[in-house]
Amino acid sequence: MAHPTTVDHLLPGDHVCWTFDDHERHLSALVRFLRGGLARGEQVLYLTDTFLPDAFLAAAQAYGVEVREPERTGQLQVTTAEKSYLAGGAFDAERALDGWRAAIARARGQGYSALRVAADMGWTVRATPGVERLAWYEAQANRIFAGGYVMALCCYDRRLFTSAELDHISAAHPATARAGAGAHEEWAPMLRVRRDCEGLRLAGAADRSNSEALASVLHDLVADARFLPDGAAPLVVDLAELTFADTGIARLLASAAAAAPGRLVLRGARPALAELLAVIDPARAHAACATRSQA
Amino acid sequence: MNPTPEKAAAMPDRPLPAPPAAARRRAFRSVGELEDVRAFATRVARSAGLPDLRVERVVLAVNEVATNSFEHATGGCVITMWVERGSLVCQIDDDGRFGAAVRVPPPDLESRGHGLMLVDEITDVVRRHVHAGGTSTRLHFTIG
Repeated sequence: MAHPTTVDHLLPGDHVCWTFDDHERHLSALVRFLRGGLARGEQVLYLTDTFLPDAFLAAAQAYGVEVREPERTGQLQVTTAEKSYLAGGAFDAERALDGWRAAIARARGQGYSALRVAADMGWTVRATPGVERLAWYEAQANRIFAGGYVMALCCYDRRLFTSAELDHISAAHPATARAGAGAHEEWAPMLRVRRDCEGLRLAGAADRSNSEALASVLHDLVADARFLPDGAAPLVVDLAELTFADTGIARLLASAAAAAPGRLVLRGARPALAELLAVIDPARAHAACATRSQA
Repeated sequence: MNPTPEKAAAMPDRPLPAPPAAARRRAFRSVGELEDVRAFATRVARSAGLPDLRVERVVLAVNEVATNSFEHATGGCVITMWVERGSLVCQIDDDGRFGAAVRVPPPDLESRGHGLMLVDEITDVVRRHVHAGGTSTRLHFTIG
């Protein structure tokens, strides 16, 4: 399983598929996660499918985290998957996404610097209507989390999923903490995706293991670019910190730029990616190598 | 960057000579290990003395063939790398048998982005051999 210390390397805007196979270390990671959030003045939400909320709070207290006051003020909220994801009796992906938007608005309104969410995803293996849309939901959630306010730790118990199922789900996350992550060397999320009014910034590596996450955010960006008023500055996909992109990712990027000509542009591609883009779309490749300041 | 798909496609599908005993070899199982595939390929390509941009081409090509293995074969893949007569050689073995079909150049521009076609474009020589146990893909990169 992923090492508990991996959660220390997350930043607001990260969306991570975090895998575990033992509850002791799962608990230890959750406690680190909530301790870090409380210390930074973030709102912390834990949607548990593993512990009774009161038992979890008592355990966190026993680990030395003062949970009573933050729980009283609402800075810390621990509830079950049944009462959150499945509040209507079924999993409604759209309602869950709207729920995140509302939670962000509330947390911002209350002055928290970020919203930190840990969610146990074990409930998704039970016979629940709507759960077949889980990977779609996880991919869509990137659009919300890329805003940079939410740090989302999706906890997947490896014992409940086949490796093919986990590959499918993890592709919808920009990063996954797999078995052994952080045990021997320092772990960092493979890809960070950040969306702001200027466009999209990508940092890290993108390949088949996280392409669904990127595709979803790019799809959203293309839609926004098409609605730009004439003459407005184009939305920019800043590739300067994208250290690796496979051919599928390069194709995704080239298609996004081609879908909104002049309104969505690629910038700052490193030499290897620039070379790849030149083969895929020679007409636009030159602009993709320009740095952001040259644009 | 030489466009070489025709050259690659013209190579007869003959058994490949065995890699040398001293070759570096590692097995990978799924797309979740692509980061490890790249770290392995980067280490070997750097130690072979390739300059940075060529290291990145090696990594891109190996990553692509491995991705194809994870998607079309059932048992992951084994990557073997060594230096031979002024070239860095990377061999990717899997139990899938799709290798031969994708060598035909695509008819339209849209599919120019096909991963394995791009591998052919950035690799000096590509040889594929489909055999009873699966597919072996051998990529040659000239050093220097």
